[in-house]
Amino acid sequence: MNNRHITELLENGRVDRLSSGDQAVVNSHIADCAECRLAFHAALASSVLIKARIAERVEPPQFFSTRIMAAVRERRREGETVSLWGLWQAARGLITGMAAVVLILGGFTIADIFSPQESVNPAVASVGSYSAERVLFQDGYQNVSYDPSNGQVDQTVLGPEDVDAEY
Amino acid sequence: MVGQAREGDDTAFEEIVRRHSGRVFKVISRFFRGRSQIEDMAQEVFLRVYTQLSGYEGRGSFEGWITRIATNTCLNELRTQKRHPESLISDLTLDESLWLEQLTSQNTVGGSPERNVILSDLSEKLLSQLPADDRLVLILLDGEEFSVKEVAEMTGWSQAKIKVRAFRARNRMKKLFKELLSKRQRSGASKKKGAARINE
Repeated sequence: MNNRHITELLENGRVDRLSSGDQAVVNSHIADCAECRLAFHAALASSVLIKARIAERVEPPQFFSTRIMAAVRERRREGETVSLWGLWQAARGLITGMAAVVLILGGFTIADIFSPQESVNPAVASVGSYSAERVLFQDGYQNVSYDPSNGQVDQTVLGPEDVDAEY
Repeated sequence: MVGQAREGDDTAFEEIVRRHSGRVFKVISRFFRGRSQIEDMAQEVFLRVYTQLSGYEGRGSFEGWITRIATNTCLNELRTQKRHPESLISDLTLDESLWLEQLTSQNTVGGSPERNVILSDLSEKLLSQLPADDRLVLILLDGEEFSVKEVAEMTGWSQAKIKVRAFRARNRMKKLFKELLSKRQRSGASKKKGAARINE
């Protein structure tokens, strides 16, 4: 058996189950080759030790599923709390912004209530409704009736001379 | 049943736990020894199964999917554990020493349940020196004798990565074993010298 064959055997990781033929050849080879002897012993030890290690088995206890379901319910409750918290975290900016807008508007309203009222011209205030003609005649011609004729309108807009020239 | 559990049926999920807990315990006990730790890990695995159930697409077996979650949970836990490479096996027990002697003199080892306990302790000492990923690969390939392809499915790693990890882990074990043997030889030689002085 050459070094390459030994290496292949070691790489396969099956050194603990060599055939009797392979075992004999390995024995004769490693008797003279210290490096391969060490490699073989290491591989053998590793394989046997790991197998011994995984041979240890632990079985689930009798009420394991009950324990798991309790843990699941606990996790679910935590999840609900977390989701409410998450909702608050997500909406916090929006809610804060809306509250700020309400406060600002409220502030404006209160300020408006307590601010001094502007004085209004009583003549203007007494007028129920506006029209361009009414404003015009009230400002320039106080005694003109509120229902002027066409001539009065022309005189007001064009002036008496212009009206005469016109006609 | 998976569909029912996904829709929030607790009874269906409890049945899943009952059916698969044996498998999950088997996976975890490959990597951890203490019963309470194994139970805690198994609980963590099933909580992950519960929360990730909506992500199970039905491709491949459900058992394979749970095995993958269990393997990854173990790997994460192994990664959090500290290794102590500088403090390699200072004292071998008498049984461990005798076993090593048999191994090196006869090039073979016999197995028995009593011996398995001794070897399991020694194995833990050696394996705890390896990085988590290497340890996982070595246990799955050399211990459980899974194929590289199967390990790739369990871990989600590429086959090339697994081969590299296995090569590295075996080399590391070889190095550790070499240190172990040289310590044993030194200790044997000093004992012989001590005995010779006493005889003189």
